[in-house]
Amino acid sequence: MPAPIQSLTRLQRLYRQLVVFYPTAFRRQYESLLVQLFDDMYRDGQSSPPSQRRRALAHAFTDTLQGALREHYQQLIRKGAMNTQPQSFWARHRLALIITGGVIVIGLASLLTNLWDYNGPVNRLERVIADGQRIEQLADSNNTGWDNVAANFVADYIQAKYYGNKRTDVGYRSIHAAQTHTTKDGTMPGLEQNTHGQYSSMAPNFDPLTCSTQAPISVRYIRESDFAPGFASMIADFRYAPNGPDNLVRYQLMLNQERSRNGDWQIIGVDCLSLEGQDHPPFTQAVEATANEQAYDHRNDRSFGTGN
Amino acid sequence: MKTTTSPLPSPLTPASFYILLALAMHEQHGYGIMKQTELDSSGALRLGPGTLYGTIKRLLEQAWIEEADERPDPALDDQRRRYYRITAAGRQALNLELERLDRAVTLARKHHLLPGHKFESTLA
Repeated sequence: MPAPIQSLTRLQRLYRQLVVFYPTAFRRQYESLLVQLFDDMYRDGQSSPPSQRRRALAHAFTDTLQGALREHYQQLIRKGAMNTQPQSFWARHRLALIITGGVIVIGLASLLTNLWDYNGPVNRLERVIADGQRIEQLADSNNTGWDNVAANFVADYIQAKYYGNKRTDVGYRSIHAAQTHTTKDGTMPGLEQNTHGQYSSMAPNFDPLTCSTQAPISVRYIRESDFAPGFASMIADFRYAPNGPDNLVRYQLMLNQERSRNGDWQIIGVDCLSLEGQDHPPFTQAVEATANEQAYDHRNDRSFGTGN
Repeated sequence: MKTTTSPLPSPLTPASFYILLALAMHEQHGYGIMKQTELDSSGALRLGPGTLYGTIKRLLEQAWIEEADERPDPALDDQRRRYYRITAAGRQALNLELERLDRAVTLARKHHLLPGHKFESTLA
């Protein structure tokens, strides 16, 4: 009978710790029996000569340790034998099935719940660009020249970027009407309808960085490339006055767009180029970096163009 | 003449043999088996707890022994002890082993190889 824990000697406690080395399954069945056997041996050994008692207990310890190793070995042998048996289809392809199942579930969920059509907050710049796209559609339906529309698009883009909250009069509207614009039918000199159906005008001379002088002077917009269907480019020429109104520099800004699967046009890249060799690196870099950043965001944001 | 050979039974391990031998006499618990084994082997085989219960586990799996349902009087023994008894299959295995040993001893005796016999040397 196992002795109460309080009355155990150090050897008995040590033996109980030794039994822990056995495999769990074996221990579950035989731990109490092993301990009981050792306690019996220990009790009977008290009446034996010390040397004989020591030998018997030492043998019990070493034999128990060997037994633990033997049981682990047997367990490994049994597991190895089990592994050589043909496994079920599920066991062999468990990981692949889990991954495939996960993909199917996510795919179905996205189809059913429109999971990926995230319509979260859209910042100012995206709204302006979205407005620009709608203006394109509006202009298209009104037979308005693409030049004008594209000019507004670019202007809005620049304004939104460089004025942000400073320009309370811009908001989300597509503004701009420069007399230098040309329209196909010439019906909109100086004025243009914005997305809200209102007309607004703005002095043609302003600069997105300094508010001094800037105006698009011409815009060429290729709706869709003949040689690369699904891609479109918009090229806008700007005057930019980094050093004051008398020192205008012409810049060319090219927005490359790609038609997405759902038919929307998305900006995929922007190039900014000084046409007169008087480059203004901060401006160029700022425009390019910002535009490319936005282009990247738009490619990864399906809410672009939703006009929230 | 066509001859058939039947495979010789695998010899039992000393621990299995002595445990089966001890249980062939009567049901016993682990410590009883241990002491009986030591006695039967004249002290040559001293089973430790690990060897004893490792072997008992395998004999149970082979169904050569089984746990006995009947327990002694609680006043006389600890109720938590497990008693084991030999099964028919275990007895058959033990008989086969005894026969094997008997044949071996007979053969050894026939050739005067048992200790205590005088060897008839063939060398001149």
